[in-house]
Amino acid sequence: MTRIGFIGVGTMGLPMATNLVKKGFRVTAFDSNPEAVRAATAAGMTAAATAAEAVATADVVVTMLPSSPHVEAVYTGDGGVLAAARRGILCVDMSTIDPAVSQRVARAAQERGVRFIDAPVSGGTPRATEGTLAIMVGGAAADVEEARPVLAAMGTNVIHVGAVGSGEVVKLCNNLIAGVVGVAVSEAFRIAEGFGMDPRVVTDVISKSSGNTFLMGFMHPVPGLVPTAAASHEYRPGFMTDLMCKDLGLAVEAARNLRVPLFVTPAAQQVYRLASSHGLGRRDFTSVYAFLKPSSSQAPV
Amino acid sequence: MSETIGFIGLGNMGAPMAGRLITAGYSLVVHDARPEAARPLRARGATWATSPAELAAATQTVITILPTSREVREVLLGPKGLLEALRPGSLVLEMTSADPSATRELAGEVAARGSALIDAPVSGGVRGAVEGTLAIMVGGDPALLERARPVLTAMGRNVFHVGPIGAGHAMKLVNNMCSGGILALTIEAVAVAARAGVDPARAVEILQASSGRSNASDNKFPRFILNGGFDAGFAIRLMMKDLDGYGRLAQEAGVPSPVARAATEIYRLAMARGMAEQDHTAIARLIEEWAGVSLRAQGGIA
Repeated sequence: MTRIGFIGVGTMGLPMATNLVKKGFRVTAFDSNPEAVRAATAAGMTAAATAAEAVATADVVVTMLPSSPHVEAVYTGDGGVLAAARRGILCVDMSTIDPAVSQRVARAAQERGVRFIDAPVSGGTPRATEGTLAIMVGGAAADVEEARPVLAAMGTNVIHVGAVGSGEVVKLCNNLIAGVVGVAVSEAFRIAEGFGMDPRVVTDVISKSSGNTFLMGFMHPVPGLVPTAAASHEYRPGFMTDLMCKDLGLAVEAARNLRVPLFVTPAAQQVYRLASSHGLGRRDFTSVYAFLKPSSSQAPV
Repeated sequence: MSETIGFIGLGNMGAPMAGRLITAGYSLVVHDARPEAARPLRARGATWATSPAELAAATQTVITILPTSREVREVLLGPKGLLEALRPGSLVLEMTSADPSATRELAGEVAARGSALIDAPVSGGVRGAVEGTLAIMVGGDPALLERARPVLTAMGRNVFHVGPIGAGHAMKLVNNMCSGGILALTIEAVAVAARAGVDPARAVEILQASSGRSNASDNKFPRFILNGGFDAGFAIRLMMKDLDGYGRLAQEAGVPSPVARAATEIYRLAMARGMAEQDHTAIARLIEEWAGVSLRAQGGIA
C-alpha cells in the first residue's frame, strides 16, 4: 500500500489524514505542534520528529499548512521536504496559498527531480471529517492521475483544473465569492429581521429566487435555520474568520499584481478583520452575522 | 563648505533636491539610470559616476531617491552596486518612498558591511523640492540623523525623527494614504456639491473655511483641479504604489482599514483606464466623468 508522509495535521489536516488511515494508507505524520502529532498517533498514524523524517519513507507527500510562507519554508527551507525527498517522489500541497508561490515551489521541486502538484480543498472541517471535500488540482495530468487514489480518500469531487498553481487560482476565486456572500447574506438577514421578518420565511423565499446561494443552504449565518451549520453551534468552525480574512487577502494581493480594480472583496475582507478585532477571529466566518448586530432601537439616531 | 555628497536618482524629486545641495555649497557626485538626467547638474559642477560603486568610492554620504524598493535594492546590492565599494563608516540616506520591511532588510545588509542606512522619505512635492521646503521623516539612530541634519536641512524645512529604522517609510505611507484618500473623498464630495447646483470653486472656498478643510481643499483643488492644470508632479502610478504599501502595512499591523481600501481602488480604476502616468489630481477627471459634472471653476478662481 502507498506510504504517505503527511505534514500539517491541524484542524483540517488531521481529519484528512485520518481518512487516509481509514482507507488503508500507511501515514507518517509531522506537525510543528507536538499536540497535533499526539492526536495523529491516536488516530493510527506513525509520528515523525521532523518534516524530513515524515518524507524519508514516503511514496507520496501531502502538505496541509496555514499560509504561503509555511509552505515555502517546509519545502525549500533547511531540512525541508525537497532536501529530504527521494528523486521522482510526488508531493501534493493541499494548503490554500498564493498561486505564484505554488508555481515557485514547483520549479524548485523540479530542479531537485521531485514532482509537485497543488490540490487545495473546499468544504471545511465537517467535510474533511466525512471525506467529502471538493479538491481542485493543478499539475501535470500524469501526476494528478497518480495522486487520484490518495485524493479520492479525502474528497468526493477531485477536479483537475489545469497546470500547477491553477488549483489555488480556483480556490482563491471560490473563497472570494464565499467570503463576499457570507457578508451579503448576513447583512440581508439583519435587514429582514429589522423589519420583523421571520428568517425562516425569508430563507424559504430566497432559496427559490435569484438570491439563492450555497452558503445560505449549508452554512446559514443565522443560528437555528440549518442544524449542521456553524451558526447553530455557537459558530464553532467550520472555517475560521481569520482564515477567511487571509484568503480574501490572497485575492486582494493577486488582484494588485494583476492590476484588477477590486471594490467588494477588500470591503468584505475588512468586515472580517473588524469581526476578528471584536473577538470572532477563531469562530466560523459566518459569525460575521453576530458582528453585524444592530444598535438598540432605543438608541438615538 | 566642500563636503562631497553622492546622489543617486535624478528624477522629478531627486534633480531639484540635488540642486538644493549644490546651492548650499556641497560638491556632488551623481548617478542615474538615465545619464541625460544628470546634464543640468553637471552644468552646475556635479561629477558624473558611471555606477553606484564608482560613486561610493568618492564619498561617505550617499543619498538615494528612486521609484521603489526594488530599484533601491538594485542600487545597493546589484552588480556595480553601492555595497561593492562603500567605505566603512559611510552613511546612506534612503529618501525613496519605499516599503518599510524592505528598508529594514537593506539597512541590515549595509550594517553588515560596517556602514549605516537611515530612511528619510520626503513630502512636499516637486515645488517643495525646488524650494527646499520638504518635510523629511527620518527612521533610524538619532545620532545618525544628527550627522545627516546639515545635508537634510539643505533640502527640507521640517526634519522629523520618527522612530527606528523603517519608521520614516511607514510614516510616509501613512501620510500618502491620508493625502490620496482625502483627495479622492474631497473630489467626490465636491462633485456632489456641483450636481446639487454649487459652483465647485465656491464649494472649495467654503470647505477652506469650514470643518471639511484639508490639503485637498486648500492646495490641490485651487492649484491643480479648479484650473484644469493637473500638474502637481506626482503620477497616479506612484500614488498607487504608496496606497498599496499602506494596505500591506495595515495588514501587517492587524488594523482594519475599510476606508483606505475603498479609496485605494479609485486609483486602481484610474490605472485601468490608462491614466497611470497622469498626475494624481487627475483622478478628478474620472470622478467628473461618472458624476456627469465639471469641477472647473465656473466664474474663475477667487
